[in-house]
Amino acid sequence: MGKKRSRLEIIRDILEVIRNKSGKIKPTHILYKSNLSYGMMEEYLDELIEKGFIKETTNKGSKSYIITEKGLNYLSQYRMISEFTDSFGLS
Amino acid sequence: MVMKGFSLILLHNAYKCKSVFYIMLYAYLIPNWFFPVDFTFSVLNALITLAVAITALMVYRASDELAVKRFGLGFGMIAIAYIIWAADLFLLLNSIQDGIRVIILDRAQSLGFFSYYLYIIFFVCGIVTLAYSTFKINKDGVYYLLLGTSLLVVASSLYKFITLGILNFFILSYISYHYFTRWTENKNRNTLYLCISFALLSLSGLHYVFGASSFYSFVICHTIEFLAYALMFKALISSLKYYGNNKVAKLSKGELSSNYGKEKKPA
Repeated sequence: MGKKRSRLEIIRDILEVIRNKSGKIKPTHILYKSNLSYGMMEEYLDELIEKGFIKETTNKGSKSYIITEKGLNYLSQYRMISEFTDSFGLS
Repeated sequence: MVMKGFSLILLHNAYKCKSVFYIMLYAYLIPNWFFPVDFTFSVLNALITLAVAITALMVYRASDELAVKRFGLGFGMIAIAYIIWAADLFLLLNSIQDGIRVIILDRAQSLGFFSYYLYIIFFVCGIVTLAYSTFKINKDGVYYLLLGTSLLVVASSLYKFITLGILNFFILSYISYHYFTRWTENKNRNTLYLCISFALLSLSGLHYVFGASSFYSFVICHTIEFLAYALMFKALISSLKYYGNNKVAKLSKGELSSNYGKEKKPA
């Protein structure tokens, strides 16, 4: 069994899933790709919306999520964020 | 009579409350040659802690992690404390050059004494904030209780610097232990450097306790303090090895970019 993912890794994985789907994705696709339970996924999505990493859109009653510039920036800076928080005991 | 080549710094605060006369007296001996060295150390310590604070705030801006923000603010407050200390040393340096052997800072020199109190406040706030950032909780009440208790302990003490030294030792030892347990989990070399760094810092704070009785305790402890920050700076530089390395294709309103599919996935 693989090592348990940290919070920052899970956030990265969710954002990558959205980015790899051309920046827009439905919740069910996130559920399949991110290896999270539905409850955990909802919690993380709420957190990502609050932080401004993703935006929720509704089209004809169908919900989807779009990655923002801030979310893309998080992915580009992820290695630095991960190394800093791991080194300084903040993860 | 002060030995040749040394200066005695005397912090004297006397006041009367009803019929009781309170005196806060704290003295430490410093070799004159160490004053400019200590000034340099203080400036470098301020720059290093400022660098850690700025980096933490940059990481916070990218990640929006509250613990990182608190960590940055903690180091920012410690940086301010060192700037105040460096400014005081600069002023003392001028006194030493005038040939004065005993320097008494008392209430009459309100700016000098005020700056020592500011140093204490910022330093205590800084280390308490760092300690809180290691807790896995997010309760403002706990933070303010910890901060208030620590400041009250120092404020109510007659021997503020000795109390500060003991409080520093206690809190910094805890932070060092935290980094030790983190290192046993993640085996990250930078975490080990930080564990050693905070352990050295906790020991260096003891100069406030032994300063008056040992001629060289000021020199040894401040040198240890500088070495601790140098180690911390090494950990910081090492942790920034990935800064600016990753490039991500920009997506415009959900459209594919020309680089899509070519970038490597992070490890």
